[in-house]
Amino acid sequence: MSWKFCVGLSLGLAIGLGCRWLGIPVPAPPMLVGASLVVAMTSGYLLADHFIATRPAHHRPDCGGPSGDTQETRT
Amino acid sequence: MMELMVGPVLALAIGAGCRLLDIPLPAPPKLQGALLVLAMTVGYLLGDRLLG
Repeated sequence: MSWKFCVGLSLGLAIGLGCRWLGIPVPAPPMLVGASLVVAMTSGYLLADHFIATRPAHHRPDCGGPSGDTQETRT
Repeated sequence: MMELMVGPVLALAIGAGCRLLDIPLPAPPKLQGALLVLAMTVGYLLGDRLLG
């Protein structure tokens, strides 16, 4: 696990804490089950991606949420 | 209890279907992004518990 990923996770925790503290709507499901469903959707996407790796996904940049991609890596 | 089992299976099927049909996924396409969403929710719930 890279240190950048650890910093990202800490930032995510801090954003969630800050949103609850300041009464701001959190940009994630406010329940653990909802967030687990997001992880499950991504896992299904990655599993299918593993099996049909021969066909490129043209709409990956349109997928929702933080992917970690930068503009440089997309082009 | 049944809903808790149907939900993850449906989410897995949605993710796999979006990749198979090349439809934009309503979730981050990378596991790191999905874990960041989970971290935000955990932070929110931690704050909820700390603040009462």
